[in-house]
Amino acid sequence: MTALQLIQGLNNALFVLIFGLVAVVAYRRRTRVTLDTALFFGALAFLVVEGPIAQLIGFPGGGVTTAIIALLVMALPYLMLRLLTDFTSVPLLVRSLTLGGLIAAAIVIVTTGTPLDPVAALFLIGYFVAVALYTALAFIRLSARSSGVTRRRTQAVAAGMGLFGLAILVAGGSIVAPAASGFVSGATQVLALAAAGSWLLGFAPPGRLRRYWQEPELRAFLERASTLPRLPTTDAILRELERGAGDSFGARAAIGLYDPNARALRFDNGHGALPPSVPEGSRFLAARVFAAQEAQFFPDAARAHPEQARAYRAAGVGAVLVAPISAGERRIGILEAFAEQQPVFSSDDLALAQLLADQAAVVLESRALIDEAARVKAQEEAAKLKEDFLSAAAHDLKTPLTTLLGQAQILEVRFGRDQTLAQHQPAVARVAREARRLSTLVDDLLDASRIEEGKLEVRREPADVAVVVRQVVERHRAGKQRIVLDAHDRLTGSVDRRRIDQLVDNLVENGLKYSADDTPVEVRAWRDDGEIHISVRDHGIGFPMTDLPHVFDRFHRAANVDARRYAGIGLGLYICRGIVAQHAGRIWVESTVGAGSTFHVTLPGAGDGKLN
Amino acid sequence: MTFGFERAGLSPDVPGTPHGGAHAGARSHPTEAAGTPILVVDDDPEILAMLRDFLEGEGFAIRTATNGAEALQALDQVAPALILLDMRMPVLDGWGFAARLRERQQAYPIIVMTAAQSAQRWAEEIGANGFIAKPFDVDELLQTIERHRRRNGRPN
Repeated sequence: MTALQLIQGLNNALFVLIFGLVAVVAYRRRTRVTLDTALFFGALAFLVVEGPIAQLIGFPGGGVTTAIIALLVMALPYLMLRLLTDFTSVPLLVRSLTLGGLIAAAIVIVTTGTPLDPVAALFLIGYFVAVALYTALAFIRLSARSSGVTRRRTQAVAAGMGLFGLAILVAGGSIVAPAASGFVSGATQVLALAAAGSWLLGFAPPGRLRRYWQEPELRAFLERASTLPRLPTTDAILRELERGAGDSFGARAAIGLYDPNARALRFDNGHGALPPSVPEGSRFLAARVFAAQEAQFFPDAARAHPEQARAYRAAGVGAVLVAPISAGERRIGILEAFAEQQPVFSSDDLALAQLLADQAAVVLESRALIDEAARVKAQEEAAKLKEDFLSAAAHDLKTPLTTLLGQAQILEVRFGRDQTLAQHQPAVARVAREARRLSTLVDDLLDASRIEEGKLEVRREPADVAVVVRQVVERHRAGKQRIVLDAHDRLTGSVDRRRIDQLVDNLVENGLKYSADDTPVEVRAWRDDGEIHISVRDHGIGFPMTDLPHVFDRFHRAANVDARRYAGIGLGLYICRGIVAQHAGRIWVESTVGAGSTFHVTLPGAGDGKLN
Repeated sequence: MTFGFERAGLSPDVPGTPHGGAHAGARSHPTEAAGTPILVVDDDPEILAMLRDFLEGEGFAIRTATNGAEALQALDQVAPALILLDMRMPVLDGWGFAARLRERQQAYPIIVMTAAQSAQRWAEEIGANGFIAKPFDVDELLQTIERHRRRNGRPN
């Protein structure tokens, strides 16, 4: 076997291998591109294999067979151009010329028969080389527009086209210089082998090479991605991700985030191809991929989604790549890349799109976590600030009140004892009383704020509620004899004495305030089925029905209350409810306008309740 | 450090106000007045002045301090019958003061006197004998002091 034969054998094997690979791809994904590729390499493989097989089976190389083979050879330039038109736009003139060339070649071959006369042969070779070089140049231009692995693959294809054209050119040399046919044959074989090698790398690169080609771009994207979660806003992150993905594809990219409330994908940057909101379950390509949760390539967006065809055309979108962005079970959104033309190698781009989408998911999830952490921190800080403010306000308001109240009370006693000052004693007493009232108001405001914040401090310990109720009533009876008390003995519960004192005090105060001086205010305390029950009944103005649901609301004052006659800011009952809630008790009111109100409070009793 | 005490003043022999104690006649403490003062610790000078006016009027000897550190210095000189202790103070607060007292293995009746809603909890935290919430009625303060003060050097 000579070196030439070895090269030829290798060559043949390589063409058959490439055909096998692209045929498998074409079988798996029957698109125009894969079929055209298979057709082109099928023709090549047939041409290289036909000779040896015909020799092997002793098939006589008749004129018809030779003519068919010659026609098939001349079909190659047309197939190359057809392959090119699948990826990029080719001027009509070029397409027409190529088709014309094919027809002319067919006519020449059929009419003159083989062997061709040298002039016709030179014409055919010129045609062949011209188309091959045009195709090679077009692929080089394509590679300049694309990036990453696609760029490398396009370059390899361009090299293959160029080398193949060169091989034909050199083969044509034997017509011009028949003497050098040995050298020409060898050079042709070597060039054809190089072309085949280039095509193999271009059309069916081994996985390792593919990853190697992909790496620099991915690395650049990942390096940038690691800094993205720290960008100031999610929008800024989305724009960066879109830019990164677009650069990686050499196309425009958009990211849509899923909004569970609207049940739609939201796009800020749809490039005119997508509306700002794409409903879940709609026919939009984004919605379809979001539902399927699998990356998809749509070579012709207008055909895949005809309702939207006009928008796609207006936006200059031919092909669309869509990949779902999800983190585990959580569906975050989708990544969509728009290209004017079908990308040369959609299978690689599909894998890349999914990779970028996965990376986007990581970035967005990190961002969500950072946001969540910041939100929790801000909330804690706000709560802390409010609490700090409350305790600072409590301290700062109460400190001067302490002096004011104390000093007024000291003077009140001294004035009462001194003959010369006795006439001023009521005035000082008034100061003391008002200081006490101011202090109560401050307490109410602070307590109401604490209840609102859920920060009312209640220290429950076993105590006799009856004693507390009795104390409150005694305190009020000092001036008002109309309070009637009916309290059972030993109403032991787990309570905060001071808070229960405050509660009963508020209710008694309320009853006294809204009823006439000659009517009784009845305070009862008893044990009822293990619970401690306290009621405060007055025969005063009562509440209208419409006010009943709001009686315990903050700042609520009933419609029939004349604000000028009854002072108050409407916090007493709100605080009562807060205190009762902290004791796991209940509070309610029964009322009739003009007949009076009865407030009821129940508190959980101590364990021995049922025995009493 | 000499700040505070001379200025705040220990005045065992100064009688009450010109008009006598606010509640003079109702109660009198002739023996304690000379020997065992009440130590009042509060960072607010107005409250200190008001309490001095009131308690001296009641016949008590008073020693004042504006923070925990001053109070500790005062304790080097006198053994009070009772300490009225504000909690939130600069330099050394109520908790710090109580901790230092424990370190020094000294024990006096303490009444926590604070405007915070946590008065009772704080009192328990530092192992005080009682608490009174600001603002208070002076009668109530007097009752609390009577309940807890040490008489003639012995715990009540």
